[in-house]
Amino acid sequence: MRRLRLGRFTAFAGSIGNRIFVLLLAGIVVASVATTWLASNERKNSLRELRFQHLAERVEQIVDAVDDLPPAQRPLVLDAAAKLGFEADMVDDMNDAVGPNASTSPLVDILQSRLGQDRKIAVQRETECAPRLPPPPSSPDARGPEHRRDTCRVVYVSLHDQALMRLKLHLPGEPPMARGRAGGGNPYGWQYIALFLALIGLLAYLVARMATRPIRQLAHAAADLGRDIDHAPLPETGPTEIRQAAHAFNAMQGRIRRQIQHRTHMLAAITHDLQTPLTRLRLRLEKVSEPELRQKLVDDLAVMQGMVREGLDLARSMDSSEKVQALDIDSLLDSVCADAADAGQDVSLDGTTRAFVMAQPGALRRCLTNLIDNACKYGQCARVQVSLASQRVAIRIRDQGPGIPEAELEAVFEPFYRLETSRSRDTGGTGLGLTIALNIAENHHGSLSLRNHPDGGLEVLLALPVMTPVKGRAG
Amino acid sequence: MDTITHILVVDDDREIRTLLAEYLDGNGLRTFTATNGTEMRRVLDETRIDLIVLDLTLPGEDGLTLCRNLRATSNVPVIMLTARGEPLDRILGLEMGADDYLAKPFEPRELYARIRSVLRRTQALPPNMAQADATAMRFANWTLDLTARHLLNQDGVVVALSGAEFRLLKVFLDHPNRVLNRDQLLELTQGREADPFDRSVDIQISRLRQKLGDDARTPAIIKTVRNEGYVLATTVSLEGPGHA
Repeated sequence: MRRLRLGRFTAFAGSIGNRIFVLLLAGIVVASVATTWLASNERKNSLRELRFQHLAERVEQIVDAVDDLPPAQRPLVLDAAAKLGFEADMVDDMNDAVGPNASTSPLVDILQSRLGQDRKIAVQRETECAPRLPPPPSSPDARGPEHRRDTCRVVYVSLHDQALMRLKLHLPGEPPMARGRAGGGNPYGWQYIALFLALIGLLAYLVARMATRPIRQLAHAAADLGRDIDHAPLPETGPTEIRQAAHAFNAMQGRIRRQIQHRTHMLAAITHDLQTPLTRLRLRLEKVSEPELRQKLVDDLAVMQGMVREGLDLARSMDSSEKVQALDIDSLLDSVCADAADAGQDVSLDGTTRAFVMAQPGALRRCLTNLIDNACKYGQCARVQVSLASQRVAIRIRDQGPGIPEAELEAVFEPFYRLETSRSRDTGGTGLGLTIALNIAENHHGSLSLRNHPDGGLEVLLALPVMTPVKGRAG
Repeated sequence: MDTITHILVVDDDREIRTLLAEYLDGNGLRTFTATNGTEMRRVLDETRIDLIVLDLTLPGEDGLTLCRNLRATSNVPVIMLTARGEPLDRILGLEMGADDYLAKPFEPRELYARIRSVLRRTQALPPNMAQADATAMRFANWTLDLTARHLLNQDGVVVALSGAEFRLLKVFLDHPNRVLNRDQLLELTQGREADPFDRSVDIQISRLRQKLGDDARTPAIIKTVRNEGYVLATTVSLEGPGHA
């Protein structure tokens, strides 16, 4: 996995820890941005409200003052008002303040509640009005040219005698308390944002680690279970869900172990109980005087014994208590081939690896012996060749037999499977040899595959992971 | 053999006892039988026995216990009959106490061949009493695991041995610092009739030296004694329940 650079992103996104990390980080950032935005919006709204209240207060003062004046004096007073920073005059109707330009500004409601519901009030937003004098020095409106254009409100209000007055007022600037904030637009400096991001990054990392630790432990335990059913149970500690998962896992391990034990015990018991009658039978056969009959019976018995033996080997290959040790793979191949040659088989060995593998030496020897026996039985000879490639020991065993039909290359690994054309019935095979070999190969994290060699014969490839790279043979 | 060989068969199955006795008697041996340890000891007291065929699974005292007790008092060779259903290490562990073992059901001819082979072997050299229950033998930088029948180097790495290599090394370790000639080595390592020792001793020695990392020109572990044979030139210590 680590070697596939292209798959790096997929590998990163595939990890639940990374996913939790990214989700948490993104979630916190989005949530903080959203709440900050909402809060500043809220603040803007209340400032606007405050400004409207301020404006309404002025309008109220003016209306109160003008209300008490006789109608004739009003225009005079209103003319003088221009010096106070607003325009005011008496009008006949509301002309453009009603209709399409009518404002539904909250200012109307505020004025209505301050001056009384019986007054006719309309507000119009005006953008073309004279600049305010003098411009406030640090007003946020002074930031850019587009903000320099003042907006103002035109307010129509009816006096107590139903006369209409028009007021044109600048919307007051922000109150001083809001003006004093740091300039530059961003209330938080970049260093605050960086600190904030670093903190939530750390938090997200810790949470992701904490959340995935039990999952990793469980995954490790499951992998260990695959190798060694007697592996120590998981500690049932931690949060409730983790405890439950660990408990369920341990219970499952116990059940599997009991099942394997039952199966192995059953196989052992059956074969054990078969030993005595088979031994008797074999000894009795010595008394059969007719040589031809005796030989046939002896052969039949040999087949039965072979099945008993392989059945036991199969049980053992699935439930092996043998210790896993560092093994010099060259010495094993050499020994197995020497034993096969001593037994009269045509075996050759080519190549060395000087590599070690973690193995159950007895089981791996059984695996190789089975493969070499098969080659010699169905292919006359076994040409064993070993090499080292990408941290794997590749052991190839080739024979000179007819091979196996392509369609059946997989099926021959199934227990008791026999090829239709096979001579295995004559040669006493039980169809378990390859199953046993495959079980053992998988127990060693290796792989076992068959192929018909282009130059004829069947080639078995047993690949095993190397423990440590090339190391001189000690001794 | 100048006198007739006396064999004692210890098995709790009456049929197997009598059938075995008939077979062995038919092959020119004189066979006695016993059902259990008590009977075995009585027969041993009364008669001269050259070899015992001992069943591993006996009621009461089992074959392993009997074999171990026997080793303390006598040097009668023992061939153990085992059941295939036994755990692997236990079957192999028998090698320590017994001179040979055979799994049931067996070929009668095979048993006969082993009896002859064991007798030949024990007559070639006296057996080494001390290692009755040893599980491993240490020599030079190596440990020979007698249970798993493989070597361990000083780093604990397993170096596998072929059957012939194991037998040869075992003979050397049983007789350290003693010159063994080719004939003796052949006698001692020749396992069974069905598995002829068809390579010369010299080839086996050179193979063994290679596995032990022993330089063939200046060997340090198995030395050549010109015109005499070979000698294991190192001390051997035993490991096991009684050799802690």
